[in-house]
Amino acid sequence: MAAGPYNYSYIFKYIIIGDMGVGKSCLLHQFTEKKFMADCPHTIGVEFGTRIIEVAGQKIKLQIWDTAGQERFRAVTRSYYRGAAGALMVYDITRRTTYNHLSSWLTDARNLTNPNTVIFLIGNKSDLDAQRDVTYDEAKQFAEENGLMFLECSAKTGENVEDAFLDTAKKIYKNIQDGSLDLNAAESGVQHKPSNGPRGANLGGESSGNKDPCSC
Amino acid sequence: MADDEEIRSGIAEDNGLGENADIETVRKISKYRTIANELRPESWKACLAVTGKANVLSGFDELYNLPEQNEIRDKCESIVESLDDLENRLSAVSDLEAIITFYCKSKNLSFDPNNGWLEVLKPMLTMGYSRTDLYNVFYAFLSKYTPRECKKDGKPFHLFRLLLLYHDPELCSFLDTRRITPDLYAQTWFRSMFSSCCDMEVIQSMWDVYFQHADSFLIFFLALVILVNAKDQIVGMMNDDKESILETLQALPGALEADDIEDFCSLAQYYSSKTPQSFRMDYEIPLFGSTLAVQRHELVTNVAQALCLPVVVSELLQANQSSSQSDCVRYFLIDCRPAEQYNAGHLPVAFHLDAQLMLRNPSEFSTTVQALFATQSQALATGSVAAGEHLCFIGSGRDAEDKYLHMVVSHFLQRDVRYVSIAKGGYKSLHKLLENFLSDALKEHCPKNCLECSDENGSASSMASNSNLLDDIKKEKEQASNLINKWSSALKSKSAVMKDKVTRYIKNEGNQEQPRHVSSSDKVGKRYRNMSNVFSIGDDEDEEPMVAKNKSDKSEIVKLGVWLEKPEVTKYFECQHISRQDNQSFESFLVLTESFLFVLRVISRKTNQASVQAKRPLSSIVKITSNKKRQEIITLKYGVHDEANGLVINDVDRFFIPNASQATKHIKFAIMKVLDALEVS
Repeated sequence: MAAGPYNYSYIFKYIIIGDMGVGKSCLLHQFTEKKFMADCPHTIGVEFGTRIIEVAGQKIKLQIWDTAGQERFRAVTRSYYRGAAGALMVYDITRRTTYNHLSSWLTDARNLTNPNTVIFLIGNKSDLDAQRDVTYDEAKQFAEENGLMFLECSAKTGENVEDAFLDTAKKIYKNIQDGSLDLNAAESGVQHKPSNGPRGANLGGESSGNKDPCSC
Repeated sequence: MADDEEIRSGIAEDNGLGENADIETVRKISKYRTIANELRPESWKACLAVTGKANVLSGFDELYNLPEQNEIRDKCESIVESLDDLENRLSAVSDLEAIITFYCKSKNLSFDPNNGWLEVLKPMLTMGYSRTDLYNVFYAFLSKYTPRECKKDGKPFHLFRLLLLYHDPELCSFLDTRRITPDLYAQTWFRSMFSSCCDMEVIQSMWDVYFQHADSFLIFFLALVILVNAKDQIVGMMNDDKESILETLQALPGALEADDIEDFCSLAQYYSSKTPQSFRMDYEIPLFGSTLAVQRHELVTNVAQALCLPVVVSELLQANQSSSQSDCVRYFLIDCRPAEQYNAGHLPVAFHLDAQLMLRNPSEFSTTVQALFATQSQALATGSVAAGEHLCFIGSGRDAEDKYLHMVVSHFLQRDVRYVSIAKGGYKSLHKLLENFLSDALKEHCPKNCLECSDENGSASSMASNSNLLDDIKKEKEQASNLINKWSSALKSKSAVMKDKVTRYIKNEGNQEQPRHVSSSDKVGKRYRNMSNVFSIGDDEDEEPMVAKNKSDKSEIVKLGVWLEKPEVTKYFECQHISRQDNQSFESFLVLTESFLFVLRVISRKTNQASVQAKRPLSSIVKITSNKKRQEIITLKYGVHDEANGLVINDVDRFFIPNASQATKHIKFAIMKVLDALEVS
């Protein structure tokens, strides 16, 4: 009975952002399918992917929104920031402009998500080290200054891709455990599945308390 | 051709084009086609409504003192030099310079050699106009036909991209992925209406047709036809660099020849008729309106950020109410709201696809999408009122839920589904528009559960943020009936012309040696009156003669919907069957089974009747050819391979198939299978 879509205790919502062509869709594809998509067409609006992972013995379903990097879709993509528990902010280590735009992506992410949203910086295309345009140290420093988690990854080889998604989830889970992320808050980006979980309440914001027969 | 032109100029003399000619006179004489050389100068003036217009230039101070004056003079000289048979070159140069200078001064603009003005003036210069006429024609052209903001990242190009996305998402996605935006290749096309990239003869013919149609937006569809026609070539350059693709794109119009122009324009009309019309209302003012109107309008539209083409709800309702026979764009409506909202009221014809299902249960979502397409094609086949080739998605009109709508629409677009649009303002707008007759117009409308109904009773806070939109709706509602009527008549007249063009095109295709069907006994306009009969299949009111005609046919009458759903049918295609005897065309279906090809001619979509016109064994098809210029026109040749005589053709069918490449692919495949089977046995 616990088969299929309900075989997990939490849903975490992620959003992937960054300039066009940095490899957002490829990262998602690598993570969900464990394959590299060569000749990946540009994303129109928003795409969507899921995978179930395990953190501290808990099954967690990641619901990942992959947004289009093109400026023209910004009006559409902005609406997906709200209610994201994790934001993966991606640049391309071989194209400096994509790194330079990070501050504007970060501003968007900070303004449009809630304060507890975990922001993870990803320097993609680490397999193209010879064409590197942004050093590891520089990006690492940027991440530290802004309180971001950081890794260099390769959607092509798969290097560190798993870690980036999992580390984000671990951090979110930790925030839940230590109480800094309030699941009852609207748009926490986390949903708790009542059937399996220990906490028994639907944390999507709707209270079921009124229907409780014992409340009289 | 020559005879034809003589006749046309003869008519002109009788009618005396000149003194009081207006665009209607020109249309009567030239029938939306190329204008005879000797009539062109006056006809252009008439179409642009500058005949007898005052001499504005008299207000010119005759001072040639702009900072860029030298550059203006140089450019004027080089344009005049590029024209071979111009009589008075010196006065031509001074006319040009006066016009440009005065235009700059009166509009307070500075001259930019790339603004396309001189390219626009070039064809006009060959007309032998006086300086006054030349200025007036030039002025009228710029204000009516040159879209505002023909520059990098300009509105016209965002709109053009949306139109391309609507008609050919695959090509649009290819170009987007290569970061080739329309402003990079189409700027010169739009600024000078192709004058800078085509031969003079081509431009003259094109403008002849263009001015008669008097549709400012036709340029978008001309450009669209150019791109779509060259799709294979463009997509074939997938390994080339961006620069060379751009060069190829920019040079595309140069391949046009004067003979192509009428077909080219007819196709543009065809695409235009297959496009939701509401974008015209949205963009008319920003692109072609007066400066003052633009400033007021600026806030309302955000072209650059639209996910796909928006359609205003009044157009949806209009299309929905019109008869299933009419050939304006017909929509298959997809309501993407959550089930509880859908259940509290929806349009009776809307298919429900819960957008959030995509998140909750992806496999159920894809099953529903499959069901959606099946329902759509079934509705089309049976001619149901809900049928439509164009998918219009309706959301709630609330940001919180519309993000799921956008996700679903992205899903479809990403899969290269064409004819995708979003209802502007969603259910909120629809509800507003239908305010006074909700219970009649909506199905299962339950005011208690309907979010819009409870919103109206409750706070108006959410409305404030959408005040622009609501203003729009209010305005719309005031004009609703009026507007709807206007639209329907506009659409009808447009499509009638378009159909006429397609028919005429089909008639002449490949038969260049035959004279055109105009004789001295023809009265002006007669062809038009007859046209409706030719195409009576499309229009309700003209249905009678069709039915009468078919009564005399001995062919078997069948139920169309039932037939198309038969298990042995492997594939079917909508087409126009072109009769060989009289070149009339009939709305038909090409139906493939494993061993036969049937031609079903639609008698009436309403009664769902069709007649079986032909049953051809697939093995008898010996040749499939497509028209070189119009690949939608497919000729099937039937015959046998004779030992002695080689290939003997004993019959031929001709079709206009919108989706020709798919159709021929399937037919060829089916034939191969039959032939393989024959060989084995």
